[in-house]
Amino acid sequence: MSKRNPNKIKASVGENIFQVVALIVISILSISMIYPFLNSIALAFNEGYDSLKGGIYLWPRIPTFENFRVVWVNNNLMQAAFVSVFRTVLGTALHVVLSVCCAFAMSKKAYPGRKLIVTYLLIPTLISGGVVPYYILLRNIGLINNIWLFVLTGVYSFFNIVILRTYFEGLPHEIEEAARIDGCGHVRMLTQIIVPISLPVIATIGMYSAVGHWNDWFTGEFYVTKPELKPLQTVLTNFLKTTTQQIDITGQQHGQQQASTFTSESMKMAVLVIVTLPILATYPLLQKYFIKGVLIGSVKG
Amino acid sequence: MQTTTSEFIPAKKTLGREIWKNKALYIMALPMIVAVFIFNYIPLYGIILAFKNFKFNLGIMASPWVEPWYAYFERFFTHTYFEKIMVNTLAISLMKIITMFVFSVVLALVLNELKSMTFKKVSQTALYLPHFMSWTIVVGFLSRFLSLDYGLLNEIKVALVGGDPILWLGEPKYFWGIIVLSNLWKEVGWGSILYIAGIAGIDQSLYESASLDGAGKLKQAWYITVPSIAPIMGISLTMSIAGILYAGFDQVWLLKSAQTYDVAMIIDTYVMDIGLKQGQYGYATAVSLFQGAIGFTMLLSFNYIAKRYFSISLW
Repeated sequence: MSKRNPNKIKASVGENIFQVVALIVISILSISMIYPFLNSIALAFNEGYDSLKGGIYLWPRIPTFENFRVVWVNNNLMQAAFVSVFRTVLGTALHVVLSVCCAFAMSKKAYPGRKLIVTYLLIPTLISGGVVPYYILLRNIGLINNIWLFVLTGVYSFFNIVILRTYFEGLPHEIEEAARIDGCGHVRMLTQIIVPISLPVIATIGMYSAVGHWNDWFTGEFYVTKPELKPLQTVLTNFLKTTTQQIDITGQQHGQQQASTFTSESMKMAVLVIVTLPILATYPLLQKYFIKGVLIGSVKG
Repeated sequence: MQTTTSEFIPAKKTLGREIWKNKALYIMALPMIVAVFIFNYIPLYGIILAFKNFKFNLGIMASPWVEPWYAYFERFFTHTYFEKIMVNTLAISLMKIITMFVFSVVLALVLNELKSMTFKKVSQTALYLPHFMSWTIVVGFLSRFLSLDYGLLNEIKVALVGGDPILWLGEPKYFWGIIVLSNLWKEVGWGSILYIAGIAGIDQSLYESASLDGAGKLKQAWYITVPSIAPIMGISLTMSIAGILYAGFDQVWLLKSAQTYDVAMIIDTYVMDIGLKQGQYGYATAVSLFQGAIGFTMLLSFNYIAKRYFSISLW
């Protein structure tokens, strides 16, 4: 990548040069991370054949929804989107509920078997049977080609449990003590006291899980063969890997006999935008939660 | 009647009461425990496949043992591709670990030095973004960027150095570089978070007294900042080393092509190819077992070394 000349400013103190260079380097880095998304959005909304001429960077030249329309209709993206949303919502809900309960139990200190439970939950992060035994298990319990597999995938995340536990342990003891004096048992403690004041952290865990579900293409690729069960990410992956000719043929088959404005490239861009948009849209707002989660989890964990 | 725990009551009675008193906690943890048992512990039993000649109709239990018990391992180690697979895996993995390690620390140091808080916050938002994208998306961008006909990299290359555009993803010699650099692009931002947090916690007076003693920024960084985040670095490194034989399935699987087959073959892709695709369950499990065993050993050894010589430990 071309760099702007850092010597543009006459060097006064070495520190100022460093500030300028650092600013430039970080800027270039940051821009390089955002630009591809903006470029893809621009290309997705631009007429395919026009894009071939080049020169589309941040804004479409000839705006159109054609790419999205063609891609949506031809690939049954509605079905894939349903699968993705289904798994993200239910999978995240399941993961959050189980993790919160489990983390709460782990955060209590003085009861028999606690250490056992913690160790029991730690071990799977260290050793694993690998892909094949997992696949065989899934087959034996009938989760291959089953939409519920997606919901159960990723239900266990030691990292998330630790984040929650660390947070619970860090809450002021007075709150709990006061409740106990009033005769509050474990269940009410969790549901009526701890959860309401832990919403930010719980939301963070939820978001980690949601992003994980949304981005997972592996499960849909290797543990599912029925096309109607493939989530968006898997469909996108296959779509991107498809050769240009195949896409052009398919496009022509579906009613675009006369001059069409889309190309395989523009269709790819449209799919990419569809798949990325949810995360891209919510990310800036949720960013601080994501960071907080990592920090809480790592300080203790 | 509630019994308060006192040393005069026999342990057996107290234990039972303690369990009953806390029954809610056990019930809370139960669903997760069951889920982990099903999806994480039961598959451990499948490790036995690494020693069995698996027949579908017989199932795991009844399938005959493979002769000799190390047959699959022997097969893997003497395989014509074994050397290639190991070299690729180790090379890619090590390069990724080292570059991520170095550059996330450097990035954290640089970000820490920035004077403008707004710039720092805005750029961090940008830097963490690629981490939340799947490799599918990133590879999508990468394919465009490296494309022969309309890729930005080729545009730049031809403009600066002239000559013909290169089919980057088709050339074996560029493959590792592409893998390592794209991994950096995707993860360096997120990787620096821990260090940024660590640096933020350093006592500012240390820097003040250092500069009073005449230490410049560079010396301050080397003698104050780096040692302060050394524990974090140690733990990060230890955990990375444990994954040394896992070179990154998603990324390599999506980026490899027929031309780069030789340099792209890593243990994970090999296991997927022979295991799930060709159905050689026993052999694939053996290779996975090898991967896991080495990783586990490295984790223990590294943690031991870190504990003994640097007082850093994961547990």
